[in-house]
Amino acid sequence: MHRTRTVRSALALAAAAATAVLLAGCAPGSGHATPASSHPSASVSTDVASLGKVTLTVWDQETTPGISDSLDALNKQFEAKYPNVTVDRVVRSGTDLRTTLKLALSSPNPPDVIQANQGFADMATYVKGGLLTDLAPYADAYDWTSRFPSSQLALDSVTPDGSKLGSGNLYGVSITGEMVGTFYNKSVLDRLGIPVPTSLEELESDLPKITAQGVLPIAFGDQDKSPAVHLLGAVLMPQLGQDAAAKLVFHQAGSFDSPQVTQAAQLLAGWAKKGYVSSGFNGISSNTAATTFGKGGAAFFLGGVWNQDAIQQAGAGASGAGFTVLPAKKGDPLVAMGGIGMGWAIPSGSKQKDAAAAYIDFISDANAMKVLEGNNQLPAVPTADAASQQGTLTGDILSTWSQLTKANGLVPYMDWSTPTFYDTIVSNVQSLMGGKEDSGTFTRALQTDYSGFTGGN
Amino acid sequence: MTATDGAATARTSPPPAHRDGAATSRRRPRRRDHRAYLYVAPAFLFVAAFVLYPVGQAIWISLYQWDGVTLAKWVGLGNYLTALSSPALTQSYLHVGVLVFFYAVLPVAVALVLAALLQRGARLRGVGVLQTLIFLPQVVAAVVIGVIWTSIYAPDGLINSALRLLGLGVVAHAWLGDFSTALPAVGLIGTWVEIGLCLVLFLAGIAQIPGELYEAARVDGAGFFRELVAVTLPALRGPLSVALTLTVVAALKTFDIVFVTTGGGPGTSTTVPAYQVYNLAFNQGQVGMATTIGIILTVLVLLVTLLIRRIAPRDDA
Repeated sequence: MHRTRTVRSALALAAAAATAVLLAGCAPGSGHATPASSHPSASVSTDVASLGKVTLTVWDQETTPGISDSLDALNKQFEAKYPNVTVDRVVRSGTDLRTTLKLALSSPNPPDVIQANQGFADMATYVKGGLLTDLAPYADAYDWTSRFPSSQLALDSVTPDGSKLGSGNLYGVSITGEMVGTFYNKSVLDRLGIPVPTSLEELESDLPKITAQGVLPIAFGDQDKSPAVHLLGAVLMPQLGQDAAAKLVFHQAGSFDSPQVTQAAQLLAGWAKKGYVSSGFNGISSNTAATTFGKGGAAFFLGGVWNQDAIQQAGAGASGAGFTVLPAKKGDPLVAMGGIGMGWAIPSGSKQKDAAAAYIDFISDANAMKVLEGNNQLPAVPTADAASQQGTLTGDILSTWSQLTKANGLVPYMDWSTPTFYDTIVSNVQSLMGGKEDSGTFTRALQTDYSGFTGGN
Repeated sequence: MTATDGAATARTSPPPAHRDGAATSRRRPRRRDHRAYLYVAPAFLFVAAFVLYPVGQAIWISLYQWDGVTLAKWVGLGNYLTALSSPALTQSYLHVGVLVFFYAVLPVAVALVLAALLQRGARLRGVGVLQTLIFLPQVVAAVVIGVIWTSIYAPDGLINSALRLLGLGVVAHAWLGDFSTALPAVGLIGTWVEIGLCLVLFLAGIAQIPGELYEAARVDGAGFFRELVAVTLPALRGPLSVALTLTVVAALKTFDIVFVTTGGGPGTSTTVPAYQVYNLAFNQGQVGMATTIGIILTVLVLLVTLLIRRIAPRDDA
């Protein structure tokens, strides 16, 4: 009788496990109903006042004060313009937004406006799942194509099957800009008697002169890993040129096993070996490096405009440091890796698509750009004349962005190429510069990841 | 048929005449009382809803290639094969093996010695304060610990400053940024955290040992180490197994400290499975693969826990 009991409990357990699995159900992802429609409402309307009482639920991840204040101000203005609309703003940190967005988008009652992170893991996956609205009709109705340069709109475009970035339909609109370039410390360069470089060539020839005088040329900290992408981009993109670089990143043409990439890899390995960058960089945070530079501990800092605050706070003040984007050779067209803030998008399940589009139009028009500038943000399309800010770091950043936008020289972040590319780049740059691997291993590792990915499928 | 016979005899026969059957009848309810299930039901339903169902779902998801949104693709055991063969992933199991040494073996050894010392000097003033201080890291949030140690290990941090002060500037370097020191550096943070837990467990265990045993040992001429091996250690089998279980599980699950201090770098020298789970699921959109590693980690933790329980004295387990 003992045996019967054992068999019984075993059977019960098996049944429980089986039920659990059965309850867990069919293939993951088949649960939620086919999304309403990734098309806009039957006929696009820009007449928000006639829509009746509307509550717009907006999810964003802009938790930093400058941009958060801008959005609060814009939301008030929007509600004042259309008294029938109430904006319900929900702010979450970037990581929180990312983890909950997939669930929210596939629910029957998604938010009306969201911020989608560009790239294969996020925006392209949503598009593939039919969770975002194609904004083309609204782009026509509101003439977004003349408001934004095409290189910016490309960053928010995905093919409907989610397999290609940079082409296809428009699924988002971004209101802020960001770019990677070269910060220089004016007083350090003055003391060394070195003029501000105008090309990467000049920068390279300056580096040995700076070490010769006992000064650290480039403050660099790679503990948080993402600076690896920015440093590599800063030296590689100008060599490739905007067109080839964008094609490479968007997976349209090119290879990472190319002479330019090898050259860039050798350059970075050389910088690390010759002590042109901070020693122990793999154990220094990016913020610490920016602070060192701001304090006058180094001549240059290669990084994104988001480091501006740390640099100014560290002691450089409003005008102690300058910003520029260096072409490969003097006079070459400007090319910089960078991008735009997350794309403001409309979930397919939204029941207020016309109002949502009007909202996106409102937070991206000339008035909105002025509000952003007023809060020390870099707007996607600057309006203010940078002349009034001349001589300050803010002025440098605004005018560089304007030149870059005019030259259509924006190249997306390299790590967009494949879902795993970020990890591949950052760990291999750390190994390359740490002297753990040579440039051949480096380019092969990048190319293996790149060629192993054939689109979002 | 034996079942009904046994049940019948157990019910009808007077107890003294059936002494040899007592064991069986004690182990088995005399009559199947279905009301018993009612008492178990609430607990079972809770466990079923919040443990069994999610585990079943996780196993199910681990059999698919899934980005978290679109329709998943059935891959059977494919994820498990990748998880156990891909160099990037197998490397992280090795790293976690190293961490087990730093999170479990080292703290247990250090805490044993400390406990034995404290036991000898139990009448010292301020022992309580000392114990509290050593236990403190257990109370501090892991993220805070990570941030503190990142600054201690920094190129201009406490350790390097101290080394330079001692004239050992040559040894100073970026501990978390160096390929050969990053993993031990992360591990030592774990050692620092876990010593307190082990110490408190061992001291509680030692307090249970009758003082006469130590007196007897001393009368027999036992020194510090003899006392530790002959009296303290055997009595600490229970606390030892608890300490090992908790610290080994903490080592296998390590995520927060790695996430805050190195993010798996430099290169991939400090990646651990739990970090891979997070990275795969939320950054790379490979939910199926991430779940697979989660399941493997769970099985690993269960196996190791079962092994460690063998140290524990029978009635204590």
